Amino acid sequence: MEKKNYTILLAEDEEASRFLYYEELSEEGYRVLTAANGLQVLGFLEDDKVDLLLTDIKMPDMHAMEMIPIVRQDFPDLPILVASAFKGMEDDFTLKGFNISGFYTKPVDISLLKKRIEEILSSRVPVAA
Amino acid sequence: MSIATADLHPREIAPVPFFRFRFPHHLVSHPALGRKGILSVFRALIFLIILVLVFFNKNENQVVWNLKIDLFFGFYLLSIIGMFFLNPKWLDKKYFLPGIFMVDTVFITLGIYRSGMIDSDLFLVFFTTVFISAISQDVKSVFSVALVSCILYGFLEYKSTGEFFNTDTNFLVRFPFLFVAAALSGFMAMDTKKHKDAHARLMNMNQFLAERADASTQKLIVMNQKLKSLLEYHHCVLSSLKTGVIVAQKDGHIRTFNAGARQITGCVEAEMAERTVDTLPEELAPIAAALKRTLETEKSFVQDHLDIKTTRSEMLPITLETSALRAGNGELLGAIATLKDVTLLRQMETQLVRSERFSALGEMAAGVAHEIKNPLNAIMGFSKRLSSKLQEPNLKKYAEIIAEEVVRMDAIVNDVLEYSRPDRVSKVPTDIHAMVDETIQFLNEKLEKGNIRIIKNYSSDMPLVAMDLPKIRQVVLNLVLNAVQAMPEGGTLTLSTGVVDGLVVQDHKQVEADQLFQQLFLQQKMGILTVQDTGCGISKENMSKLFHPFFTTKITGTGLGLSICHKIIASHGGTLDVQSEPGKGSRFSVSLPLEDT
Repeated sequence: MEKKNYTILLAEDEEASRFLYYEELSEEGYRVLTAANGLQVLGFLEDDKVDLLLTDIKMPDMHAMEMIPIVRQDFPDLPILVASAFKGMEDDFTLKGFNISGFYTKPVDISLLKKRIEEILSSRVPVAA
Repeated sequence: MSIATADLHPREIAPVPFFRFRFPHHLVSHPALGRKGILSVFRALIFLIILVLVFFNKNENQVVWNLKIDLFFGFYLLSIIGMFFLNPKWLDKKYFLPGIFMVDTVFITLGIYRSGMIDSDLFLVFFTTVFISAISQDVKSVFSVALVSCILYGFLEYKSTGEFFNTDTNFLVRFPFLFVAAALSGFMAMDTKKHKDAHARLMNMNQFLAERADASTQKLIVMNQKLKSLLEYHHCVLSSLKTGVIVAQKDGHIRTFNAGARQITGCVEAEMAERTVDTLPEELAPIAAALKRTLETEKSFVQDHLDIKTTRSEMLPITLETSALRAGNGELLGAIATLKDVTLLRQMETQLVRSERFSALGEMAAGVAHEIKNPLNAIMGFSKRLSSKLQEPNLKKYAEIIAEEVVRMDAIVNDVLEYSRPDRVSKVPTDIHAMVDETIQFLNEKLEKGNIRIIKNYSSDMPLVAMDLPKIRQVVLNLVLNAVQAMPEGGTLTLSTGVVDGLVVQDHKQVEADQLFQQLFLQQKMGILTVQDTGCGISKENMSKLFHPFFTTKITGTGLGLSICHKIIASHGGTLDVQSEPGKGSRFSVSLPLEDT
């Protein structure tokens, strides 16, 4: 799998965390786009070809609960990973219908996250291709 | 039961005061003889006398055989005989007795006439009639007899001598004497009658009074019974009250001191009964003061937070209320003090305040924890990157330490979030043995390494227990880990299960508000799991702080473990109890209701 062919869109309002994910994922070889709020996420999705969305649960301008349905309208099978505020969010019914590929709890276990991302993307063809 | 009557026996009636001799009432009233008897006897006597005089006394003036007279004699005899068979009621008929006496008088007159001894002392027989006519107890009839006798006798005189009045003084004297005799016997009879009547009235009155007294006594007895049972009932009410009731009369004398008051203060009712408001024991000074104030001002007072010293030398929190004791018309009779032991209430209040404080604290802590999570994320991530990228061993070590400390911080944050989380519990009937076994299995390595022997004391027919599995597992994990940490040199870990009715008995003084609640209001079958170790035990001072958040005796520890356990168990409706002996070990008992309530 040629990781450089895959684009990951990262949504995270905390600068430090954003930088962390950028460093880690870029190191892996992926192309990483960073958004600091929901608007930017939607902008990126419009303009660019994104293979995976990694988003925090809450953005300064909108909650993941609001953003995800909007994203799903245009991109029904875009893999989405959500940072959950607490354990047990997987069972939250409100997000059940949106086919979330995974939840990761903060503080994030980077190696686990990287493994999960690889699992998801390896079975897909990069959008940019 | 009738009141003994002073039997006024006829014999005891005082003698006739004027005349110094007694009329033989007892004969007259004698049941066997009676008036009928006396009458008959006397009349028979008269008959006999006349008979003798007429037939056995030869006199020249004797009248010869006269049919009419003899018939009358026969008739008289019949009347005597007839009297014996007579119903005594006839005697009371108005003209019966006077009639009889007239007949007697006529008979005597005829007898005298027949015998021809008009001038003789036969006249004296008239006196007899007069006397017995006194039986009629009527002066009028006695005088009438006397009068008729005189008239008849005068007639006889006339018949024999041709004159009405014989100037012979002898003769003349007879008439007045007859009347005197009549008067005497008449009045005596009257007196007797009066006495008899009075006596009868007295007896009647006596009887009447006796009956009345009886009836009154009966009523009194019944009333007494009623009063007694009412008193008893009231006494029972007072004795059964848990509230202490102390009543002081207006004069200060202590009138009531019930069992409840004794229970609270330790003072014995019997002693208090002698005392007054001023002489109550010193421990009860506040109560005495309140009573006095109410007695003076006639107003009620409430003292909510009062601590009194009991005879057991402990301070007991009570609520004291005094009110004026009034009669129906509003008059002040005294003062009533009621005492209520509010220990339980106080404890619950304290617990409530504490939990509210914790709750507020918890909310804040949760907020802080949440905020911390974010920077923690970055710090953890970068410190790990650093430690992996740095080659220089020292620098590498620094970075590692940063990462480790961040992990620790994360644990604290998680615990805080856990502790402040709402108590949502979803129960499922679970096999508690299986759950415990799983958990032990999970810790197997640690247990083996720590040289810890496990004893399982599982109840043979343990029912399923309703529980939120992951949460209770967390509790078990926590307790077992605590036990392991208490036995650093190794030891024995005993796990037991069982079922009890009601709740686990508290051994230590500290009572949590929710546990108290369970104790007071719920009695149900509980499943119990005990985790016992042979470790260092818990000291007395630490016991009271055991379940407090952030209390820990470990070097590394959030101090939230047991308080979280307690929270989880409380939200199940159960209790978490601990018994410990420093140096010997500790035993934690978890009790959970079997049914999902």
